[in-house]
Amino acid sequence: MPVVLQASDNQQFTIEKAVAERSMLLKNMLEDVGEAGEPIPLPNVAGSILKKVIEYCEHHKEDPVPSAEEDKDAFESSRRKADDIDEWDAQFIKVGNEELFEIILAANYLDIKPLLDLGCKTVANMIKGKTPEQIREMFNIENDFTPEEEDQIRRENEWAADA
Amino acid sequence: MEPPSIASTLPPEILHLIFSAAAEPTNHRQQQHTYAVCTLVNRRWYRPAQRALWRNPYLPSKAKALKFLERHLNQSCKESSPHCLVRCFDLTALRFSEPEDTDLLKRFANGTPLLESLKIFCDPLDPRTLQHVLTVCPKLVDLTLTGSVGGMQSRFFYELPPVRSMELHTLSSRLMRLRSLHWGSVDCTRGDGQNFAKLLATSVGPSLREFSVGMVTPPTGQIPVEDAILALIAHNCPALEVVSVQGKPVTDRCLESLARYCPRLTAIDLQNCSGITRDGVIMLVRACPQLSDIRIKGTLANDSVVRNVIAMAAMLRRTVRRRAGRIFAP
Repeated sequence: MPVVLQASDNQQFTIEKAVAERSMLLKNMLEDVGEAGEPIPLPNVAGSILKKVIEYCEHHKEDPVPSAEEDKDAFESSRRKADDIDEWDAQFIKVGNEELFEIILAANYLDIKPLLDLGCKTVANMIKGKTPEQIREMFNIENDFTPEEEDQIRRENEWAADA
Repeated sequence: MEPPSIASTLPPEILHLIFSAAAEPTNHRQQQHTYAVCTLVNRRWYRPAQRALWRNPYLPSKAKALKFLERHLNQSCKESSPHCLVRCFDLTALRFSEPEDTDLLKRFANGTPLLESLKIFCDPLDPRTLQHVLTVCPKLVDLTLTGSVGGMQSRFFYELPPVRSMELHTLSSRLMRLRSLHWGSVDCTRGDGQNFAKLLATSVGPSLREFSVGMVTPPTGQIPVEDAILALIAHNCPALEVVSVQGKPVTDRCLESLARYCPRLTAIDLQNCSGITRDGVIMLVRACPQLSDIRIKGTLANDSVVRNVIAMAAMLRRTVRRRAGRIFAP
């Protein structure tokens, strides 16, 4: 039974149920309303972004349900490293910065944890080793601190800067 | 004027996720640098970045730790002051030593009343100082100790009374709240450290999930007491999940206690315990359905039969969990 999703710009997408169920939001919704066949409105997600998200879910529809402790090592509390991204995902997430953040917000709204993690890891890797100015420039963020505030934060966190 | 970019208006929970993803457990220095930079990006980024930065301050030397202490931990804890964001402290690098550092250690604890996790090296550690730390940090649940603990030792002109005559009334109730207690590298063989070990074993309670046992029996002559200590702990802590007895003089008797009282065990480290045999390990695997991580290098159980049993148990457990999906997953 296919599922119809309707983006904020009224674009409609028809997808398999298994694909839709990668999203916990949709999964729960489908469980609650049964299979009505009506399009599901997603007013927070634009069509172009929804298309991307569906592409991700299509590719990962066969993945087993992730379990929280699978990668954990009981004796050395080391987790998987942040730059540990599989190749298809790395290609998939190579998008413009604005689009990247829109995908993150959509993944958050639709509750697709692996995609949310992928987006956050990608941003995390981008900010490592940068200066505040470089981050602002990269993501088009305006500096809304006064020079005094900035100075105060620098002093407060002095211990961390040269550790 | 163009509209603000999405990155400058991200909700705090997303920023929190991004900063968590930027964590580098193996490179604390780099991680701290990243967070410090993020506090300066804009006002929206400031608060979550500040939270991430102050959660676990990395203080690699005594000089830095002292500076941090002087600058931040002497004020009273107000809602706005960042030192109230400190949740974890790894002060292992500072190598405390009582009595010189007693005051320092206490000031660290006093300055971080919301601390949840503490790692320290202290040789020797006075149990009364530990009591103070656990009293002023009521949320402390994860404790990792290295060094030595116990009474009746003397170091230079510093004499410790016996553990029994120290006023340790609140220590027991504080230890009972611990979720993890790692003292695998603590030397309790000196003085009356054994009494301290017994106090620990009788104090911890049902909230304990992770435990590693310290060195209790002196290397020469005596009958090992580690089995008895583990038996006490197994009896008092039915929720234990992770246990390490690496390199301690234990036998299958401690596995018997664990098998009887701790069905939720998921991981056990028995490396270099020459008193552990195949029968003990197989009995434990039978009794603990969730046990899948067993380290047996350097034990008498280290043969292909046991390794197969362990591998099968792990496989079975994974299969069951896949089927159960989200509902029964731990």
